[in-house]
Amino acid sequence: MTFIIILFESFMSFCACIAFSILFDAPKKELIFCGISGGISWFLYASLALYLTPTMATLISTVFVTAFSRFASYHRQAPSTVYHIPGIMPLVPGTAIYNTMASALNGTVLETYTNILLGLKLAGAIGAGSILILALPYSFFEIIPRRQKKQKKISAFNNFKKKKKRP
Amino acid sequence: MDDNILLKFALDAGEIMLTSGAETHRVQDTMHRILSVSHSSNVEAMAMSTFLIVSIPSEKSGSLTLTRGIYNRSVNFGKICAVNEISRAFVSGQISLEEGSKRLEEIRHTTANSSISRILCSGIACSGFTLVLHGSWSDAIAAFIFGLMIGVVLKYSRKSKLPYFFTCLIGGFIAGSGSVIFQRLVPTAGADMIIIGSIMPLLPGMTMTNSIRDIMEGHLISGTTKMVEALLIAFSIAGGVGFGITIFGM
Repeated sequence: MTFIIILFESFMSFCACIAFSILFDAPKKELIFCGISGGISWFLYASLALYLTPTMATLISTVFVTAFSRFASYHRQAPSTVYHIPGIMPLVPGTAIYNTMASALNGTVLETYTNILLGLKLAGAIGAGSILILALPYSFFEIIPRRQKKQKKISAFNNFKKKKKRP
Repeated sequence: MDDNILLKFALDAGEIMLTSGAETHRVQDTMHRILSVSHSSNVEAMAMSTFLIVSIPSEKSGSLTLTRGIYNRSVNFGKICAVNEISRAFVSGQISLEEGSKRLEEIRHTTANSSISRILCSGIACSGFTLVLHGSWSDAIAAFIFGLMIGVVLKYSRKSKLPYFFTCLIGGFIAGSGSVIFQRLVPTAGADMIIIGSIMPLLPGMTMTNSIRDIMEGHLISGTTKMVEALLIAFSIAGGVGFGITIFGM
């Protein structure tokens, strides 16, 4: 039952991230990959949060989403930011920001500081997870070779050789 | 190849990327690659979060330097992708300098999606995130309405060039006051789910991620200023929500 709920939430995350990418003017042919990135991130986060702390779950799902965005960036020839940002979006600590504000309004000091700390921890986990993958060199993501694009590149290079000179 | 046109081309590419929300190191890298096409040494390209500097050696006058200030920032993935493609094609020699400049001008004046689809998508994103955070279907419908309102606010603030944190204040106020009123009408609704879902389009996820990437690449000044911006946005959203709750929750 839990698994079905997680799958449903991941699907909603997929739809929400596609809507988000349209809001950010992403190119139409990349929309589906932006959505997949958001779906992966929430699926991993929700299933890991059953066993681990929220910080650990955020860290691990950020690592996987960043890896996915870099693979997609290599295969689709677009900047990795386009896939990375929608994937991060469900993990951004909006809940912690809201809880901080709500507890500050109630005047419960201890709860306020706990929520601030949780928000900073989650933000740090997102940063650390991104850095772990972004620090890897570009060639690491060329393990699975591109199929059609490579041929196109060679033909473009030939054209360049025939033209010989730029003005 | 005319040096002045090349410098202007590099600056235009950098400006479009920076105003569309690209990371500073990506902007700097792109400008450096464009300039390296014609000059092999002493090429300098520099990008900060608020200005750009490019410099190349010139035969006539020793060296040429141009600077440009960047005053507005938004998020536009389409423009980043398009400029990336153009700079790649230019560096590999597929298009000429004149054609590249012409295409950059075209990109600068395009608006990819219509405002109606943007407003609708803002609503869909809000209701989707409310459902993701265990909200019920009635919560999702409420979040959809507040998302539409926030989308309208975002559209008009972009037109009238309001400061972004002020937009976040208004957006947070709409989410906070609206969900408190909705909970009075429908007592079973979860006000916190609606608020968290509705503030999602305003959250500084992009700024935060970019600041961390910039710090990692060694752009310490750009990274820290962006982090301050992210904190300011988060505080202004929280302030707006708190204001709305206190006024209508009494």
